[in-house]
Parts: sequence; structure tokens; C-alpha cells
Amino acid sequence: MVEVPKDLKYTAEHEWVKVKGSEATYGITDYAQEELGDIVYVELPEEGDEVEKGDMIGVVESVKTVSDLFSPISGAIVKVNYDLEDAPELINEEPYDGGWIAVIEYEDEDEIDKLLSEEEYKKEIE
Amino acid sequence: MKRTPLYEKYADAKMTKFGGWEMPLTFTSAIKEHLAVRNKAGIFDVSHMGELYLKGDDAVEFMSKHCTMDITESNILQLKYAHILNDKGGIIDDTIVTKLSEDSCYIVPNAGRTSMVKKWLEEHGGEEFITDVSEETVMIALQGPDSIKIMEQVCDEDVSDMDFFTARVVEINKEVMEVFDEGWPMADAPLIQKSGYTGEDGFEIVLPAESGKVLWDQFLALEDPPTACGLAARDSLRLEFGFLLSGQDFDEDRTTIETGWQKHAVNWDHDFAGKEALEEMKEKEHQMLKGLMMLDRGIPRHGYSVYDNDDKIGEVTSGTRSPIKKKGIALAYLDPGYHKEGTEVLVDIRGQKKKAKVKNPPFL
Repeated sequence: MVEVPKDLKYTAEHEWVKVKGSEATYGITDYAQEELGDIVYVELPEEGDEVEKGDMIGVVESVKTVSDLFSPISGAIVKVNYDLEDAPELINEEPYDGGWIAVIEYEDEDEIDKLLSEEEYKKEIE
Repeated sequence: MKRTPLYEKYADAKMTKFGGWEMPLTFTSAIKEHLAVRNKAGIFDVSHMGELYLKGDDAVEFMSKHCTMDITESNILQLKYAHILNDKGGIIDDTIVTKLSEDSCYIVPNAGRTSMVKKWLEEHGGEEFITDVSEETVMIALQGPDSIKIMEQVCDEDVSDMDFFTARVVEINKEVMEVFDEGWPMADAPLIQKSGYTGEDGFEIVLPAESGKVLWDQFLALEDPPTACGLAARDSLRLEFGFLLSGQDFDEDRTTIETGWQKHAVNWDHDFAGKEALEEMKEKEHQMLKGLMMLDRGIPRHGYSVYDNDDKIGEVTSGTRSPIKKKGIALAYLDPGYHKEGTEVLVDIRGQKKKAKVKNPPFL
């Protein structure tokens, strides 16, 4: 059973976003990690990068495939999860906790409002 | 899309398409399956591999003329790894050739190549010898350091003393023999081979479909069963040992010489199709398939280019992350001058040139 926590926002591209004040933590969903299989390599964005929603900001590689990471919102990358460089499997093991990818300081409330709710995202993956 | 007789067992597996077959990619996790084979034992359904049975007065001689090894001088139930070549020395497929008797043998072409190999051999005089038993045959690979211990629990006969690359005809147990198809032409009981594609100790068991289903279930019903493994683990396991994957690491445009396998796969003292072309190739400067181990972070993949500064000097054919070494590893064809172990090269990984060095497999 794929986990979709209630308190998070989502994109149709299987990313989750957790908003706290002006900062949004982001990662890929349980569904996404399940589809990818064992993740063996993560290329992270750089702290300080200014990104637009939809920008390619990194890469995750599973045993068999390479997938690009897209920024779910616009803003500045203020923190990245360097633990993933040595332990990419954190994304498989705890996609919503230790497997977070980056924290983005966002500018546009509208973009946050347009993200999918838990219920909307569940429909996407049905 | 073809399915093996064991397909019905794969309710929980993640499936993939491979060589025209719908096969399990992973049962749980590719890395867990990989480590299970290195540390304990795993079983694989490799029934997608072809089985061509050759029988007739000149069948063994015929096969010797059409592969790089001399089967006429094999012992009965000895296995040999060989390449089947076209007249230009290009590799149609690689296979194991097992001599069953003085007038019969069988080969195990790769899944996607079986019909091509059969056609090629038939067009070159083999039609009277060949029976394709791929559809009615199951092949199970039991691989890993605990293989003998596992085998002892299902097999009534002691097979712990078998030498590597030999086979034995064994009535494994009563349940397997109860459903044994008497019409199966290969042998009057299952064939157990000491062989594999993982670099570990292990067996490959070749038997008729119904018996194969029984044996698969028996393995998994053991108290401490081997781990069911899919094609993803099979690929990373073989790559850690530098074993070739047909259609990916070679095709008909590459010769045995360029793969570097002539030491193990060619007997020069006999005549075979493609021999002259191989001898010519030996004298020329040519690319070689070499192992690469990444020095920088990053995973090389099929089709990535290899550079020396700005000069392209080769191309990756297979690449993955070694679950044991936790580093990117690859096989790549490299230009002359870059074949020496330790030579540093650059692999273009999505636009970034990452450092790697030439390393002769195994990568462990």
C-alpha cells in the first residue's frame, strides 16, 4: 500500500512539498520511489540556486533507470540533503523523512495553492 | 510477448520485457537480491534462454565446425563456453555447448537470439540435427555460496562433488519425476549443470516444464529458502564479473577478439566458421572491450561516450552501480592505446565528464 500523508502537497510528477512559513521542503513520493526501485545515485541541486517551477534541478538513478528531478515551485534553494550522496537508499526507505531532497524558499503563494491535495494526488496514482 | 512456464508464480514480481519475453525484473529489491546471491543463495528463472538439441551421427562434429570450441574432444557431460560466428568473425551469439553423448549435444542461445541461431545453423547444414526444445523446457539457476547446501535439501542424489562446467543426469526427487515428461528428448531425467552467470558457485537445472514448476516451488518452500531473483540482479551480478550480454556487449559487428574472450572461448586447433576472420583480426589494431571503474561519483550507462580530454575514444556497452563496491562499473569498447589496466579515461555522464580507470573484471 502506497503511503500518501495528509499534511503534504503534491505534484502530478510525484513530488511532495511540505510548507513551513516561507520555506518548502520537497522530495519524491512513496509511489515514485516504488516505481523507480532501488535508488543508487542522487545528483543534488546547489544551495543558493534560483530555480523556476519545472526546472531540472537534479537526477535520481535507480538500478535500471535515470530520472530527472524537477523543481515543484519557484524560489531559491536554501538547503539540500547531502546525506543522500552517501545513502541514496534513504529515498526508498523513508521518502517523506530522511529522503527529503531540498528546501526551497518560495516567492509565489499561488504556486503553493495550485499544488495537489492528498486526495487529488491519490486520484492521480489510482 | 512470450511467458515462461513459471510465469504463474510471479504474482508479486515487477515485470519487464526482455528479448521478446515477459520476465520478472525484481521480486523485492534488485540490491537485496544481488546481495543474497553474493552472501547466501538465490534462484532465477532463466527459461527464456533457448535450448537447441542436436542429435545425429555428425551432430557433434557439425556443432564443432560452427562454434569456437572443439566439442568432438569434450568429455560426455562436459560444458564449454563458445561463440557462434558468421563468416566475418562477427558474433551471432554466445552459448554453452554441452556434449550429451558421442552423437548429441545441446546449446543454450540467448532469449532474443534463439530463432536466429537456429536459422543460421539450419542454413549451414544443421537442419537434420536440430530440435528446438525451448518452449517445453525450464531452466532454473541456483546461485550463491550456499547453493550446495540448498541443493542437498531437494536432491536425493549427492551432487556436492560435481566439477565446475560439468553436467549430470539426476532424478532429483520423486515429486519432480512423477510429472517428468517422457517425451522430452534431452535426457531421461533432469540435467544438473555446475555453471552460472553470477560468478558464484551454483547450479543450472534444465528440465521439462512441469517438473520445473515442481522444483521451483520446492526451493521456495524450504525452511531457509534461496531468494527469488529477477533480471535486474542477474544483470548487476554478471557485470561485476565482466560477463558478456549478447546484443548489448556484442552483436554481429563485433568479433570474439574485440571482446577479449578468445583466451577462454576459442580453441585454435580446430576448424570453425569465422576462424580466418578472427586470425586476421588478431593482427590488426582494433578496439577492445574493457572494464571501467568510476573514480568520480556517477553511474555509466549503455551508450555513454568515453573520452581522453576532448577526443572520443570509446563507448560504454553495459554499466551499473556495483552493489558490492558501491561504485559505477562498466564494460566499454576502447580505442587502441587505452587498453592497459589503470589507464585513466573520462565518461560523459549527461554532459559531465567523470573520471574512470580501466580495470580488468571481476570488479570485486
